[in-house]
Amino acid sequence: MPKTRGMKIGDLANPNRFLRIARVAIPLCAAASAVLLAYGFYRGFHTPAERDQGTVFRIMFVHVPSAWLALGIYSLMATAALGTLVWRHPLADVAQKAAAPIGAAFALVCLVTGAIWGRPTWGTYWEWDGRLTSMLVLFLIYLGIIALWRAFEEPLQAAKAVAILTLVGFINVPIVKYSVDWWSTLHQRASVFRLDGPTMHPAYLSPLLVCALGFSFLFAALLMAAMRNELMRRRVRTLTLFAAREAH
Amino acid sequence: MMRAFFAILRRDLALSFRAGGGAGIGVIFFLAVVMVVPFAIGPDQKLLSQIGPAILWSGALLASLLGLDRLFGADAEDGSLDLLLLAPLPLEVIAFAKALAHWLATGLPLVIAAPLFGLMLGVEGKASLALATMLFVGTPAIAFLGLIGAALAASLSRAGLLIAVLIVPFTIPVLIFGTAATEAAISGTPFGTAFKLLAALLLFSLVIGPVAAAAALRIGRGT
Amino acid sequence: MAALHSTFIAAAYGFAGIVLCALVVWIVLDYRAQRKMLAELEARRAEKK
Repeated sequence: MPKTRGMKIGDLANPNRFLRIARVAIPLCAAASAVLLAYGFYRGFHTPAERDQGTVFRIMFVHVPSAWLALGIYSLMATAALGTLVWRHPLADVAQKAAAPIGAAFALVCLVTGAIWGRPTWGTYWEWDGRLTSMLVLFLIYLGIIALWRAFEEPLQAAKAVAILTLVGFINVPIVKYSVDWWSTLHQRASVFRLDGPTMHPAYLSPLLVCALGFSFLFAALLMAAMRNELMRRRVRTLTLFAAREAH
Repeated sequence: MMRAFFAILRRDLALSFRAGGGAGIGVIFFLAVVMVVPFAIGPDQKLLSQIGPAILWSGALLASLLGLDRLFGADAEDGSLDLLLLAPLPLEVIAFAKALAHWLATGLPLVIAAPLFGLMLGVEGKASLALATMLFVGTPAIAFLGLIGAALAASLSRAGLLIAVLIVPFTIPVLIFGTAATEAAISGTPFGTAFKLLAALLLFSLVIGPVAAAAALRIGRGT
Repeated sequence: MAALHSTFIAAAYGFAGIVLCALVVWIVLDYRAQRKMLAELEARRAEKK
């Protein structure tokens, strides 16, 4: 009994500092995100129409940052997975768990906005193009991770299992990406507009970067809020277990 | 060490071929998939023979994922997994032996059955040989990737669908290069780029599968 | 053409907005629920002491 109590206090020491920082940082990040997104969208909607695509390319200002974030959040989760397994940092698995649904949401936004963008550009909602298909696989990996979180009862055991899955996925994502690209060139699909190439006009690039920064701040705020929820959920869990034990 | 390895291999094979072991169900499921597709598409023999290899690959993939929950599930239930964890053998080697036994019991029958089922889809002669060869390389890769999912879910009950959902994204490259290598072999260049990449995926999965599975089993048992 | 494009743009932004708002709402509701449960549990513990 004293052993579990000692462990609990030790685990909470660091999270307490996190909670103090989060109380200030969440509103700050949310405000920064709102300002940057408003400015970025304003700039983005005052760019000249594009030669081939008219105005529909403005979907880019949500689509591309979502794609970047979906990939970036996965990298963050892989780092957190290392933190769980190797360094045993008490916040790493909390961050890992909180990030997964947010990453899945950005992957979903990327997929759906891509499909909507595809309708006027390619003539179909879904084109089995390399990028969109890789993002679909990434979305599935996110859903698998969330499903594995929910399958375990005990949070620490779940954290380690999910960490292994995340790392296996992190090794696999480049392989999936490479093979999907290989597959899509093999089947001679229509080439897609290039958003990252040198063909992009600087007039579109700067609002895009502002929007990406705005979405990143939104992610930071959401992540910290979700981490705070997760810490509270675990505290509720331990307190309930203690109460049940005392009742006996 | 080799003796212990073969002992595990033999034991798992004996268990899966015994009544209730479920080695044959994968092939029956494979047949069911092959049977369902023509009903959905229509009895157009020309179209079916064109997409035949693709149907057989998808069927083999699904059938390989189907039995994975039994890979560790039965051992976790009756406690023999705890004994295996205490064995002097490295856990990676144990996982390797179990995955190999699983493939021999459930994957190899699919490879043997594929040319027969292929006849029903108009995949004949050289094409069916090509298909069997590529499945022979591809299905163990799927089994060893599946090993990871099986180990992650070892302590969970009713994990069959969960394992399939976790593993499907990782098997996409195997499917891509496996079907591409089959196509290439049918058109006359059997051991080109696609085959080499498929073989590389097999080697990769032979390494990452047991390593990740052993790590998952250790945490599953709280050590 | 331009009018058509603006519907697609609106649909894309609308969908992104719905998904991200749902995320925010879920996190806020979760926060309230956890805080309420924590308060109840702490109160019960304090009562006992």
